[in-house]
Amino acid sequence: MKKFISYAIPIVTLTAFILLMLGGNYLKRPMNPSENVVAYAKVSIEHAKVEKWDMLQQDVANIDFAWKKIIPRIQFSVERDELYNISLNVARLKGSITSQDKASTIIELNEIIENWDELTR
Amino acid sequence: MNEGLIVLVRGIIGFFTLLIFTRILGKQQVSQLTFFDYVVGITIGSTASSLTTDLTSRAWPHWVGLITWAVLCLMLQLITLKSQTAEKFLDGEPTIVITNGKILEESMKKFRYTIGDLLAQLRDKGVFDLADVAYAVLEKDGQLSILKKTECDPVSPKDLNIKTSTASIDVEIIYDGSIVQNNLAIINRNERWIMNNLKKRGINDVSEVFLAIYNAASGLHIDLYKDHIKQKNKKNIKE
Repeated sequence: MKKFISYAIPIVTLTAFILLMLGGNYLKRPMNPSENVVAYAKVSIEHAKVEKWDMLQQDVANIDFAWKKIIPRIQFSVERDELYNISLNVARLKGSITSQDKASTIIELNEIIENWDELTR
Repeated sequence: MNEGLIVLVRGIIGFFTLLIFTRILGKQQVSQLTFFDYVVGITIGSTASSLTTDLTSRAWPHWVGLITWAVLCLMLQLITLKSQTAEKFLDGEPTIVITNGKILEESMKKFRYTIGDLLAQLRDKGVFDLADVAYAVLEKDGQLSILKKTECDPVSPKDLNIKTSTASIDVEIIYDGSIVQNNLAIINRNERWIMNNLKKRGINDVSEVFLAIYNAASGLHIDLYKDHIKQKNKKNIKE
């Protein structure tokens, strides 16, 4: 029994560490529809194409809310800069929607999707 | 995102991973490490350090680096354990640098071992005269092993046919004011025996004792918290 425990403790510990470090890919998936960053970004692109600025204001708030719920879950398994990049995209997106800049809005939204795909890759 | 929290979690990962790997890699003393072992140790430590504090990259690649070095190190250990040729090739082999008081310059040059290093290590071993040395061997880890000439060996009780008592190991009976019950059982004694011995020496309570050691050859040695060192002795030390 003692020998079993002496082998089990390191194996369990290392397995837990591996799961924590690689778990980001699973943990970034939305647990409910309000956390679906990519879905919100795709809807926002459609709204940006037809310049529905009022709806885009709501979309960016949804993206921001979803993203802030995802960060604590994946912070141990991703690069700090990857998190910053998406947060910066959201901040710039807010500015471009406020200034009703269609080109910048679409650029930022596409960049969010790209940065999202790069997360935990 | 809380950077402090991330560093804390990554620190825990790095610390315990390092602990597990070093336990797997063995019990070599620092003084027994070869230069390569030393470099491997530094690299593994450095990787664990970046795993903890380098937040610009994910923890996983650092961890993979850590496990790669540890596994390679373990593999080399197993290879050297199985094959003597591999051991010679990977760890090097001991070299004789002094024979019968004469320094072998060629051997020293081969390992870039200076005369200053040699004399310092001889002095460290208590040898101040080269002529006393029969053989000096430079070990794989850089330590110098010395075999003195037989005429320079110290006299032992065996040489003088003196009978000595059998050497035995010390057993801790009391540590930090508490009786170590397991050790009492090992020497086939009980608590009453230790209390009687303490009373004989004017000690009324176990809590007065810092350390009590039993040796089958020399008996019981007791060290108290209160050290009754005479004032006179203290004065001598000051002088």
